[in-house]
Amino acid sequence: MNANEFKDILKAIGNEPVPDDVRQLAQKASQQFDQQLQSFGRPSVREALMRSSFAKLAAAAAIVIAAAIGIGVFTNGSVTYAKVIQPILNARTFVLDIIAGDESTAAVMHDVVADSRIRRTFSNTETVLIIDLDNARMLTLYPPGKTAIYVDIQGPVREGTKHFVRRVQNIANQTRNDPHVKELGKRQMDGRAAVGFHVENEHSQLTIWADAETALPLRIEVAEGGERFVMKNIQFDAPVDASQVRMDVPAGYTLQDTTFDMSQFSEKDLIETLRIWAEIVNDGVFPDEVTTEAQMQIMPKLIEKISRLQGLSEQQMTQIGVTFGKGMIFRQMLGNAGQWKYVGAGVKLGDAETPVCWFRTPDSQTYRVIYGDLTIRGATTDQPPQ
Amino acid sequence: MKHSEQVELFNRIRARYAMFLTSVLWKLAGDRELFTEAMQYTLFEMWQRIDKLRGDNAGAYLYRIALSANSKAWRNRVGKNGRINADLLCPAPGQDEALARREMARIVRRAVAELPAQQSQAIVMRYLEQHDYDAIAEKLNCTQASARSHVSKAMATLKGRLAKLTERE
Repeated sequence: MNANEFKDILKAIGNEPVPDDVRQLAQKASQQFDQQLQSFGRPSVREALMRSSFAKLAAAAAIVIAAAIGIGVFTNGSVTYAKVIQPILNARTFVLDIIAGDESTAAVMHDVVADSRIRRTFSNTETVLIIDLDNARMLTLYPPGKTAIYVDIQGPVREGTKHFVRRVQNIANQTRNDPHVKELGKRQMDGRAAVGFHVENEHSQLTIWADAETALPLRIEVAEGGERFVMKNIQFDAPVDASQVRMDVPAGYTLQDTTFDMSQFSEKDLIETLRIWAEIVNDGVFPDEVTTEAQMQIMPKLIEKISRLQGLSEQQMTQIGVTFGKGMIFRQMLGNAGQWKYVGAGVKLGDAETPVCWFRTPDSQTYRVIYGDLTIRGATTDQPPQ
Repeated sequence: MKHSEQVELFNRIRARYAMFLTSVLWKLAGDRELFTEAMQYTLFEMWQRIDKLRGDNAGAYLYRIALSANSKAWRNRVGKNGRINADLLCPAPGQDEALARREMARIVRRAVAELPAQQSQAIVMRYLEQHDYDAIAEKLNCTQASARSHVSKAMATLKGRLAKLTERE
């Protein structure tokens, strides 16, 4: 490029008018700044940037969050076990907090459940999910960006969600007269005397701590598929405003015309999830664990990192988020119905000799092993690799 | 300064320079995401340094803040290897000319974002805002000859950076 061409380009840049939508972006940035100043007394540039990233990648964020759906949909606690489980089985609405993993560090999901509708919010993102299980649809709202996205959750996502609800209720139903229900005695919980019960079936363990006077469950712990979830701050038959679980796009929101195929999940999705996690989020090293808890924790970081990838279109960025979410759903399916073992903590991406994980799908007789270079090899026996 | 006074001053300066900031940042960024990020950094820095924006030099100081914010936004954008496709520097025959020019403009913008502060300011004033040298000298608080010198050095640095980008690829 010669000097004149160079100057021409500079002048051309100088002559570019400011598009109207860019002026609006400037106003929006200014308004966001004011909101932070009013809310916190100080602005946070990082928060502002995160908001921008989420707004732009709301569709991807929706799918990453959707991947957590299978774990959390609940539901539905005398002091006898039979009395404790009555509200779980009979209530029509529930308001509760759900925590996957370590309670001291994990993100909290807050659910408002009314029949087959759920409104879910999170402690680490402003995204709101409204889930319609009957029609297998999810409305994702991002209040700061006033964006809305519908996501079809046909297939395993809905089934996984429904199975979880059914499973907790099934455990309670199946064990209603179980002589093996273990009484855990009394303890103080949130300033109240609580009594505990523990039951198990083939796949799940359920622990309920209930108020010693009213028999209402105060805390429910579920362990299944290698993961553990805690439900607390539970309100049974709490009044729920219908507008909270309405599937219509709220006034002032812009509906994004985006559709996702959430009906098929495969090991290829899992491989891509591992690649994204190691390469984009974790600087070339596989994470310490691949769990819902870890997924929830890295979600903001993942969205931020994706939004900073150079040379990708918005659609490509969204696709990364979608792929990541689909891989996590496949991994949850393995945890719930198949077999799954993750051994990749600290393994470098590209290491062809070291296994990262192995798994066996419900319909397979042999194990599949994923190595650090993300190649996948089938084990020749029906025994898990040593 | 009390918080309420800070807020009042901030709002006054922002209102006065809103169009200027929007125009300069858009020309420097040329990309909506970059623009938004640079604007957020600018507002944040304005707030952090509100004491320095009280005097007559507010405009010049704001200039530096905006250019620095733009540079920061660009640094966040550059990928891990910081590489730019050489094909974009020397468009292949048949490549859509408008696309090639847009890409060239993007590369030039990135190079401007990497210039030292004073050179960056000089080049923006001269070519993007199309000020004459008298105006540049006044804003940079220097002689007209020095203003010409800054612009000239900035052009030389820019050419050098583009050449390096080509070699790197």
